[in-house]
Amino acid sequence: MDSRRQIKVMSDKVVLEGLSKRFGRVIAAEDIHLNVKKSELISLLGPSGCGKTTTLRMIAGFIMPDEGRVLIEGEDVTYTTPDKRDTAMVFQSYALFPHMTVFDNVAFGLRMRRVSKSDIVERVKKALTLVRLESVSERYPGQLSGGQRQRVALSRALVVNPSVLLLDEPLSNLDAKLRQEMQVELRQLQRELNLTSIYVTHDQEEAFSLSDRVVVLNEGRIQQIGPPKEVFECPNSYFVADFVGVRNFMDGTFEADTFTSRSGLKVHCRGTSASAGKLGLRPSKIVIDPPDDVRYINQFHGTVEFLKYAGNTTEVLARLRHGDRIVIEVSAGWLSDRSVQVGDDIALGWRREDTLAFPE
Amino acid sequence: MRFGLRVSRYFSYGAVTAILGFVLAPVVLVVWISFFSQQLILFPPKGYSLAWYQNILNQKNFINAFILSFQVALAATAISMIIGLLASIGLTRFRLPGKSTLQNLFLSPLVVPVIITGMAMYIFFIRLQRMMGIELVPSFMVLVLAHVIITIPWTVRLITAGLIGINAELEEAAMDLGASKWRAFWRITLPIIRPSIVAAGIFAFIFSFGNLEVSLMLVEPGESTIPIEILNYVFWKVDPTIAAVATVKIVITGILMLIADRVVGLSNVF
Repeated sequence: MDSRRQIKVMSDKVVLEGLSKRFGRVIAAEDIHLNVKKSELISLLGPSGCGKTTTLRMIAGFIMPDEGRVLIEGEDVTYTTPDKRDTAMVFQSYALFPHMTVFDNVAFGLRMRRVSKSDIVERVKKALTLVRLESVSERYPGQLSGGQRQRVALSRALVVNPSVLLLDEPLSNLDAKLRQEMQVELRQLQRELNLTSIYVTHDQEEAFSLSDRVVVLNEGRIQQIGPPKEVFECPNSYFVADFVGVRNFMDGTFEADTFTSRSGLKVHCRGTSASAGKLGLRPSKIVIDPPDDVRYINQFHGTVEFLKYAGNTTEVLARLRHGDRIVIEVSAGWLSDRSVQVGDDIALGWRREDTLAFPE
Repeated sequence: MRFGLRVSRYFSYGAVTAILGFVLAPVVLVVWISFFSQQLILFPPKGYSLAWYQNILNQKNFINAFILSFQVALAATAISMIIGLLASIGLTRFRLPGKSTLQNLFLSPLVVPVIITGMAMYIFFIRLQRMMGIELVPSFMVLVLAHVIITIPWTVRLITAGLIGINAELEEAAMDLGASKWRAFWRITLPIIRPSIVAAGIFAFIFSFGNLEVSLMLVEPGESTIPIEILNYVFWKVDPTIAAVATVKIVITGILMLIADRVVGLSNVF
């Protein structure tokens, strides 16, 4: 199956058909096709301006597309206003109503749906308990911490039992530690409630750790869709590879299973029918002092130019004899057993199957 | 502390006190004079009395002037606030061609000297009157209209400032949760900008209540507003009565500003 297009299935909660949106001369989104399955958490991932937020807002109803359709549970809601769609959104800025208590904030959606007073009290209590904030229901948003506000925003969206939960970088304003905790909480909640969720983020790690599937976008177009493992190990383009952490790119030509870089480096790679393009290699796949093993068919020598210490790992920047710069990632454990210094000559190698080819 | 620093500190305290004193002196003086017992204003005063305040109640023209000033200010403020609210929504929410021109248009009455505004309106309505053959000036409606025009810069500016400060996502969140655009505005935006709206109303009222030049041109014969009456009176004589009238006006304005400060915090307005 083409990793960019999919066949529509009846159990798809949300279907995006050929969505496009232009703002003046800027193409915010183009030809977006996506089928979101029931109960899945799918992430829209990409750098600023890639179209992920535009797409999310078209699903929510804040933006009307220039072309294409949005279907939620089979119903065409492309031009329906947000209040009539069965979606609920958690905003990046939380958008809590400052003049209302936490209780009234969470109750707002229920009041709009004219739920009975007693039901409101019960449901709000449940929703706040879900995010462990029952004790602050009478406080105002201004009196809460960032993490608490985030959870109120989540609770407010969950209480209305939406078909689809939309999240626009909900954790980006939290500090690293809180963010990690919330990621786990969010995912657990989502699984518990079986809630179809669409999550926008620019953080690759976050998307990978939370999602059932990841959609990578760039300049308004979808680049790749797939489970995190697939996107991570088999990026389908230079852009995606670069985004998920592949470095050590070299330009050159391919001939069956050999790659010749512009600098003359000859690399044994996976067979490809392409003739020219880029070769990519993950820093973690390169081994210093490789074993005398036929599998490590690519062996080279280089000089250490820089060591970048990052706690759990260290990046070794080396320059190969051919002049190419290469980045190797070594673990703290490996480094403590040896002494590697700037200026050292090192032998390094990698396997054929670790090379990634990206044709022009 | 270094000598030079201390000297410059004292100097700036002194300068600020002198300037404040200079600006406030007339107000303080007027209030003080209103309590003098002699009709002839002499310093130091021979005694104090409240007779002049009593005198105001006996003068029909002052009472009527106060009433008219109030009526005009109330009407003008109400209309100006509605226009200000609608204009602010338009300016902050919509993509309009020539938006900055529009913004300047709304603020322009501040730029033109008020007496020119008064005269221009009078001439405009006279001409309109001649063209259409109906009696337009002078009249209460036109007087109110003129006051609306001079207060619009205040209401537009203050309400716009309030609207800009609001996160646009708040209304979006409300709609996302099921509120129609109108309900979102009514239940979320309006309550949040209430301080700005109240401040707009108070400032518009104060400005209208105190305006002389526009009213001068457009009041009906036999009618006048408080500023006009004060002007008329001082042409004739200067005694503590007029100081008492002025003090009443100062007190009314002062109370309104206090309320504005309680509701909005005047430091937030400017």
